Amino acid sequence: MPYKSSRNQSHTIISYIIVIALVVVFIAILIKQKHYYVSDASIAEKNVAANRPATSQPPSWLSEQLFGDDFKPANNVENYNADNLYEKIDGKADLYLQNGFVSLQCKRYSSKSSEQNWAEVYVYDMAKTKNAFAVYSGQKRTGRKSLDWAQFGYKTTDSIYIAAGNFYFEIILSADSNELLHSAEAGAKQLAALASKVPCEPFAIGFFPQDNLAADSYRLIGKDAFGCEGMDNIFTAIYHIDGNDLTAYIADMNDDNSANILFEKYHKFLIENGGKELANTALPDSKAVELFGTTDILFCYKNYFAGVRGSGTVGDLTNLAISFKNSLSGTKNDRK
Amino acid sequence: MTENKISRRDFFIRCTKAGLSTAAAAVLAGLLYESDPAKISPQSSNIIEAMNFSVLPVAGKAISIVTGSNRQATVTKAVELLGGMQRFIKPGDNVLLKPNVGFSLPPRVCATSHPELIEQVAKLCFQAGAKKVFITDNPINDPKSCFELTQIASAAKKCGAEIILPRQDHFKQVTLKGAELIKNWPILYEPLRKVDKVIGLAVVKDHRRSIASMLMKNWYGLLGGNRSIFHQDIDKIIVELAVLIKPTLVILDATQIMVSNGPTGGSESDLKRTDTMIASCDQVAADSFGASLLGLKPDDLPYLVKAEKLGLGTTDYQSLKPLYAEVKA
Amino acid sequence: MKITTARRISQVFFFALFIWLCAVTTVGEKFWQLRGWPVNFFLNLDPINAIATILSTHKLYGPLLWSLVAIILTILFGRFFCGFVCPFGALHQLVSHLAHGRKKTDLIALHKYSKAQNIKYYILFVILIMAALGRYSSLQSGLLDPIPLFTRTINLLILPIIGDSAKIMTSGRFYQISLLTLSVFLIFVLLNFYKPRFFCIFICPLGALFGIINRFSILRINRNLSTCTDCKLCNSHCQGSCEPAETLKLSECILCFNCLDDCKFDAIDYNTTNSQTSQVAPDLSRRGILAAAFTGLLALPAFRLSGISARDNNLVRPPGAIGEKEFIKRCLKCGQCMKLCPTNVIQPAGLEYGLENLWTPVMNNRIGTSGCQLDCVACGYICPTSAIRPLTLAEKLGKGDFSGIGPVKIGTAYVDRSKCLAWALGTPCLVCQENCPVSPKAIYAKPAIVLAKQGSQPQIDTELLQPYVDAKLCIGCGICQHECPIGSKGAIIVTPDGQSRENRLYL
Repeated sequence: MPYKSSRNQSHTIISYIIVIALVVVFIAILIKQKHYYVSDASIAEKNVAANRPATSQPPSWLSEQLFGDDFKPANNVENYNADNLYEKIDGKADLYLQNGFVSLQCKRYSSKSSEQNWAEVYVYDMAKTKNAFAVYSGQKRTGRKSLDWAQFGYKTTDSIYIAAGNFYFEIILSADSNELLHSAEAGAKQLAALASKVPCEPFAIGFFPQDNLAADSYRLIGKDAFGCEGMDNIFTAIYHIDGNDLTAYIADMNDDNSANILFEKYHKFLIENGGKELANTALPDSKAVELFGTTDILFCYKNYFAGVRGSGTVGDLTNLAISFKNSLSGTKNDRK
Repeated sequence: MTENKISRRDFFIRCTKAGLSTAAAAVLAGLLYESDPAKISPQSSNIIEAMNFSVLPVAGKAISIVTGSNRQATVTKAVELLGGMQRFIKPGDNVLLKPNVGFSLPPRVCATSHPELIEQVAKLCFQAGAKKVFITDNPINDPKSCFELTQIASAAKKCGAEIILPRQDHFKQVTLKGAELIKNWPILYEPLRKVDKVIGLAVVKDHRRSIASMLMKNWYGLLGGNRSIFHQDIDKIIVELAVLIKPTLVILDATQIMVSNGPTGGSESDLKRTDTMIASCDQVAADSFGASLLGLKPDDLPYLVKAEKLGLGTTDYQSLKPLYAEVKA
Repeated sequence: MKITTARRISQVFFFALFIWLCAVTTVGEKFWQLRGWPVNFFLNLDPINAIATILSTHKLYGPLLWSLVAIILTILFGRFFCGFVCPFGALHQLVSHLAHGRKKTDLIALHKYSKAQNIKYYILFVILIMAALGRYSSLQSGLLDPIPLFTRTINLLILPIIGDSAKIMTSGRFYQISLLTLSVFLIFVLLNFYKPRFFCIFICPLGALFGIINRFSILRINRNLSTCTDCKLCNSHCQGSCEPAETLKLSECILCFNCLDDCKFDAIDYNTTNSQTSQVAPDLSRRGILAAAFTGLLALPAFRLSGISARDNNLVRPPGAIGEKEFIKRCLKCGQCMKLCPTNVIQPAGLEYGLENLWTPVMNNRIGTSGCQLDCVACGYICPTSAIRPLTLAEKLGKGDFSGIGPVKIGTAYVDRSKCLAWALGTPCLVCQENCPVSPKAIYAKPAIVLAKQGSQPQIDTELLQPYVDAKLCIGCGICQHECPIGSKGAIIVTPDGQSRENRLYL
């Protein structure tokens, strides 16, 4: 029947048109999926740190020989300044930036015998001794052992931390290895020695006498030390003498006058609260007050206000005070 | 087997209809087509330069300071000294009074403009031939309550002025040319649009953030939206408002000033009677004088210093040779 | 070849294409990832999106121009989209076949036309009126428009379930309000057991739109009155319930072509014959139209009466989202942004921000693998209507040409000091600060002032660092909130304050 066949024919034509349209759509989509936009990540500043010079050019103590013959450098010295410190140490950068950070140099050394053992050395230039101390004391690790050859230094099983002069050093090891640690300590000693040659201003904590000093007992009291309003930013250290804990304290003031004012203020505070003035001839220009069993011997030296206090004998306290004043007035930098 | 073949005519009509619809769809699509997503949003806002309602300055008639305890008498005298209201209002003018109606507090607290003052100023405007006098403000508390409790609504009724309670459609997104803060910000535009003259009326108040609230701070009442954010840089917004609006005349009511717990006050002990009324063509100068009543110097108000730097007025009101008078009660 | 065969091939093809395009909507360049796949193919083709956005924004956004193809082809040939392309329709047809396919009796009654089929036109009107309301306008087509509906169901429900069970994805994807999404989907699918292609016939606004514009179609289904024996067999598998055996209701005919197969006498055909047998316009009553108009006019202002604004709620939208007033005029609720977001942080809103915002994208930093990644602009790239603008990385980060303006701020983080470990419990943590991705960091730490144990002398405890947020630097990415170990919302919370898309809070 011609009608039926022509009908079937037209249906078939329509069907084929539809199928061809589908194929065209399919092919068009396949072509389209090849063309796409990739967001331009290069504008995100990913500077290779090694290319950017630090704003100040510190001497590079990170020599080839720093770790001795058994080690070799594993990369070039990397330099970082305040702008890109984050790229290296990420979240920890804040602590440094808030404390006068100038620059960081770091370098990795690997063991010649086993490449996967390495040590990375960080040399932070903090511009001032007090800044170096601030970052040193601001992030103490647990499980640490004080280093006996450094005034401010300790080590753990896989790292060494030292504050020396204006600098703060960290040596991070890839593993808990005694051999690595040993070499690292040697390297650290070298760095500390180099640091001590760089002129730096005297640091209040550096004046605490070393004898009988309780290890790692330095503290900074931010405000109202010993209950006295206005006694701010006082460094303290603890001494064990004759079974007693004595505290030595010192404040680094802007000038002699300010030191005197604080001296008078604290003295007045002690007297007003019921303190008894003691005669004290052993240490000239000092005052001694006894209050509720604690004796304070306070004095000034130049722009420092300092003193000792505790419940020990007046004799012990006086000796400590004299030793303290000598330290202040005598040798300037008694760091090793 | 005959089929109902469609007549050629009907087929043609159908095709035409289909074709026309297709064309219409295509044309519409083409006209409205926009490939840049940024352009799909409506135009950001109107960029305007200053709205200038001021009249020509006359030397020696820039600022008047009248003492007296009766507000209506002192303000009449103060305006008279500057040349009378007819200097400012021409017959047929539509006038907008912008008082301080910020809080829903009674007049005795002196946190808002006094209704008697507004009534008198409106009367003076009508006497000078004003066709309509509008009163508006975008208060901090509920608008209707503010106009009622401050008694300004009843004052308006008494003198024939019309209150414009701010509604959402009264605000327009405005960008002040060159401004940093008034960018695409809702401003109480509608009342401003339909008037020829604008008179600002303010009281003298202590204010923690801006130090004092007087004539220049008063224009804050033209801001809409989440305007609290501008307290983060209050001096800049006050200055930008002063650039935006150049009023015809400003009247500073220092009859009773708020010296503590401002700008809301609340207690008799917050007020001090200084019995002074100031009319001025220079709001910076008027505020400087007002500051002196609070025991402050122009330097104590950073926005005054900034405004002077921009040439919006002078903080040395003496240099304008103020006209003084006293009105016995 | 029978046309029905071509139709079935087409339905399978487009259904498979639809599922494939949904599945590849993941960031990446591999063949099975996004690349250049036109994943918005169906959304672009859907004329409701184009027309409704024209009504609400007075502009036709670029890619939506493709819907002109669907419109023109419908004007010329009829509702081919419903019969050949729509994947949701294909699903309904399949389920209907499973439900009723083996029936031999009552088929004609099953496919009887019902006046209730006009409901979909009223739904369409309500949607279009809501979109056209000027200041109050809001795009709610996404609630019932089948393409966005099915897209988000696949994206937010089906694919995550499959991916999770088949362990295809590295980390499971999670989506809020899954129960609601499932219920809506399941209800529509199960209604096919009551009436075949229930959704298509009674509810689908897209079908309604096509039903309106196919009035002048050149080719249409026609019954040859002289050869027809009135056996009514052509009604027995009519998917659109348009009753070709009586006066065919052209607006309901979805071109399934089943009637051509069913007719034993070849009395039905698809051609240009006289339109005397078919009624063209949808049979709408004036009352119905008025009721729909009324609903549309009132519904939105009614939604808005509750006075919930973006400011009152913690409504944080993805970066690049436009201002809220404009956003609600453009968001299709398609879920593409939620599917593509590599960290799974973009979530569908539930009813907490009002019915208007149901299924629109909001940031939930506690779900997903991290907050908003710094170097990612995927969501704006994929949004079919530019409710989330396509950002370049330069604009998002505020670099290059945009250095003067600064980065796009999603919001601002606030430390909840009553919950934060360091603030409330004296326990060191600082995970938030550590993870803050911007440089310089927007979270900084300061040592706490804690009282020494002996006596009352305050001492600086240099080990306990407490986090502070610098609002000027914070971009609201929410990584901090995600990492915070405290439960519920965390102890550092991103709020919409300061977001770039509205006026900045911080000057």
